[in-house]
Amino acid sequence: MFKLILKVTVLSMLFGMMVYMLPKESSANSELYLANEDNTRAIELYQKIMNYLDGNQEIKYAGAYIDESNTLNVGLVPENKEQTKEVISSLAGNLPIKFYNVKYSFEVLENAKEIFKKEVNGKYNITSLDISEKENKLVIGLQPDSYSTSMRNFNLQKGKEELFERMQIDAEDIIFIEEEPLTTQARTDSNQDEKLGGIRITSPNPQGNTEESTLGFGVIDTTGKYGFVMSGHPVKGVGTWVSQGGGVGQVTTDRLTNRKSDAAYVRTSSGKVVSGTIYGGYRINAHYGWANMPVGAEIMQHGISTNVTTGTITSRQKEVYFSSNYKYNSGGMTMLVEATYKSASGDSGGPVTGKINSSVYVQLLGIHVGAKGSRAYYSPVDIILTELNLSRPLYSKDGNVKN
Amino acid sequence: MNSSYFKLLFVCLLVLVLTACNEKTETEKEYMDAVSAAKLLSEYNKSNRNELKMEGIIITMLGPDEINNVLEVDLLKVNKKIEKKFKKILFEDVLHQEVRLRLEQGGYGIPQ
Repeated sequence: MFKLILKVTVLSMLFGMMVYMLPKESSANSELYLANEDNTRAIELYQKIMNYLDGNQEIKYAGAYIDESNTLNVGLVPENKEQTKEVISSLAGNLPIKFYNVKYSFEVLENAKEIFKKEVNGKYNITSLDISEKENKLVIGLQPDSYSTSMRNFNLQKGKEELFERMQIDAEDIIFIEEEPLTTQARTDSNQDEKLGGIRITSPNPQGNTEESTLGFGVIDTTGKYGFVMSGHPVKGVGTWVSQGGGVGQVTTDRLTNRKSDAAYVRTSSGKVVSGTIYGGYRINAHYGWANMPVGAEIMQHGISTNVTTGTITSRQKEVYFSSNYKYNSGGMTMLVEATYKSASGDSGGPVTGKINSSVYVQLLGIHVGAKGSRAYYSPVDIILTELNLSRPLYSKDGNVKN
Repeated sequence: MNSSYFKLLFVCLLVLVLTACNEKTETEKEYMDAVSAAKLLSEYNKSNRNELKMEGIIITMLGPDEINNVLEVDLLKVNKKIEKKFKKILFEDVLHQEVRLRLEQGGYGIPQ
C-alpha cells in the first residue's frame, strides 16, 4: 500500500515539475504576434530571416519586399523551393508571410549585374544599376537625354546573346528606365545644385557664431510649400537665414519650449531646388515613426563629419539633458531614439535612415541630435513632422522641386 | 522498510511545498512597467528639477530599456547618499511602486 502511495506521489510530483518547467508563452506575446498594424513585425521578420540565411548555403535568398498590407513577401526559386518555404515559415511562426515564385536567386541577379557593369562600362550613359527584388529583374537607369540612343545602341550591340548567356538571365529580365544622374558634388561643398539630405549647411547659432551642421531632409509643409528640416540647436530661431552657397531660406518654424524634437523647418527661397534624396544616391521612398522601428533594428546616419555610419537602435523614448547653452526645454530633450552609430560635431541634423535591403531606397527615420558616451541620439521623423506642422518628407519620386 | 518510505515521502512533499512557495514568491513580486515609470519620472523631473538639484540629484538621462523592462537613469553624480535619496524619492514619491532600476553616473549629452 505504502509503495503504491509513494509511487503515485513521486510520479505526480515529477509530472507537476515537468509542467512547471515547460517554457511559458504569455498571452500578451500571442496577441502581439497576431497583430500586424504596421510594418515593424515585417521588418523584424525580414531581419530574422536574413540572420538565419547568413552563412547558410542550402537556402537561396531570392528577394523580399513588404506589401501595402505590411506583410513580408519572400521570393522562392524553383531550386529547394519547398525546403525554403518550410524553413522560412517556421521562422515566421504566427507572423503573416507570403511567398512569390521567381526565376533567379539574388546571387544570380547580383552576378548578372556585375557582368553587365563590366561589359557596358562607359558605353552608355548609365546612371544606376539596381536589382528589383519585387520584380526579380535587373534595373538599368539611363540618362533621359540619351535614353533613345543608348537603347538603340544596346539593341544593336554584337554578341548580346553571349552576354545574356554569361549573365545567366533572359533578355526580358532587364528593365531600362530613364533617370537623372546623381550628384557628383562633395558632401561638404558650399554650393550644391540640389538641397538634399546629408549635405553641409551653415547658420548663426543661439550664441551668434556661425555653426556648421547637416541638412536633414526635403519636406512639404501643410500649405504645399517646399523646404527642408535641419537640426534646431545650431540656429538662433525663427527668421534666421540658413546658408548653402548663399542664403537658401529662413527658419520658419522653431518653438523653444515644450519640444519633443530637436528640429527646425526652413522654407526655401524661390528658385532653390529641394530633393527627396540623401547625399550618396540614397533615395527616400517612405518614412517610419519611432514606434515602427524596434530595438535592435539596423540604421544608418548620414552626416557631414562622419559620412555614413551604421548602428542599431538600443532604446526609444529617451530623455537626455545636454551640456550648457542647449536652447530647448531648459536643457533637455525627450522622445529621443538611442542608437550605436558613430557621430561627431557637425553631424547634427544628418538624416537617419533604415538599412533594410540591398536596394538604394531608404526609409527616413529622423535626424541626428547628439551623443552621450558611446551612444548617439536622433529625433524621430513622426514627431518632427507633427511639431513643425509639416505634411510629409519629400520622396525621391517627387523629383526636384522648388517654390 | 516502512520508515524509509515515510522519510522519502516526507522529503518529496517538502520539495513540492518549497517549489510551490518559490513560485508564489516570484509571482507575488510585481514590478512596474519601465515605459510608464519613465514617463512619471520625466514629469516629476520637469516640475521638481530645481528641488532635486538642491538634493544633489541631477538627472542627465532617463528612459526605458524596453527589452529587459528596466528604467535606466543617469545622474551627474552618484554616491551612496545620493543613490539612497534618489531611490526614496523615486519609489515613494514618484512611482509608489517598485521598478527594475539601472542607476549609473553619467555626464550631459553633447549636441553635435
